Amino acid sequence: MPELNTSSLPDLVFSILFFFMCVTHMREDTPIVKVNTPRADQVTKLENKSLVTTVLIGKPRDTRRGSEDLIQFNDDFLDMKNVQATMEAARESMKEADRPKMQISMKIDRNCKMGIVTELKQELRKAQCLKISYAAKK
Amino acid sequence: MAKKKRKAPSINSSSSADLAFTLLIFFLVVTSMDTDEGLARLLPRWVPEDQIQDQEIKKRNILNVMVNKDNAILMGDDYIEGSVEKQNEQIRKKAIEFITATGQFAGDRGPEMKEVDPEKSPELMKLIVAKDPTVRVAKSHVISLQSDYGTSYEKYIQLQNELVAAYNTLRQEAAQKYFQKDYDEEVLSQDEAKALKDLYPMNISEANAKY
Repeated sequence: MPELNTSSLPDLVFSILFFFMCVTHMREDTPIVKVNTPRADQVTKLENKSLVTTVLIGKPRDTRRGSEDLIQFNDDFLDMKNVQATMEAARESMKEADRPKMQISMKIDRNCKMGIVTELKQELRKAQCLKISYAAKK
Repeated sequence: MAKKKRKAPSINSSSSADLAFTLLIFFLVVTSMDTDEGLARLLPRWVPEDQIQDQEIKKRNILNVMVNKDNAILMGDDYIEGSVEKQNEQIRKKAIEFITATGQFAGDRGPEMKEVDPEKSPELMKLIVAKDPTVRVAKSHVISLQSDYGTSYEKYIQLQNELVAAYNTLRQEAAQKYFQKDYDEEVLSQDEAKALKDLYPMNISEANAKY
């Protein structure tokens, strides 16, 4: 029986590999708060990843941090009074043309209370980050 | 002595497939293909407290939706009760009635229905009013969603979602009626989508939580 010629197999696999390398963006910051987003069936996709800044709210995974809802931004907890400055800094780091299109994706746990969410929204308004999105699953 | 031509030994490449597979699997694992989804909103501009001016909105143009800390819902003058599905159905129906000023909100009890302004929404004028001159738009209506400090986020999103659903249902109906298409930005032309958005302008106010 003639053997199957496998000499082109590496090329094949490499091309798949390059495809994945291109479409991949590394899974960003590891969540340090537990977030289980609520369900909604009217969700829309967020346009452009590079315009989106993500903020998480949930109970900390580390139980030593207590069981109060906390805000996470870029691998670290974010205090409510630093939100405005942090968001302004985040916008500064974007390309100038993209700044007005900046969008905040809020990944919030379904068991959160609205108190912290409303406070965050107020801070975002102060930081002129007006485009927001409530992350939800279908 | 004639030199014997030596053939360079080829590198054994039989394992490069395995190598590539390993890399491939690594990328498969770390890849997150899922794009983020969510309910997009626009927050109102921040106004310093001493500059806040009370906007004059006629009472009939506002539909108040309130959720308290026990997640009980008040919409207009009525409580919304029952299972989640039942609530959703009621919320959607009421919102639709309010936006179109029909049913419970017909006539004076609903928002003011105004004629289309040809300057502000030329697409709507051209594509819909030309076909159906009786079209009126509830331009200045506001659905005000108010939550309490202790309201659960899940409930809040449920309400947000149903209110968005009400608009989408109406836009879908209009898309079928006037364009025989689905309300989908990929199917509709830009002008058609704009016309439908102007026909049912989304006006959900993110009022502050009451403490």
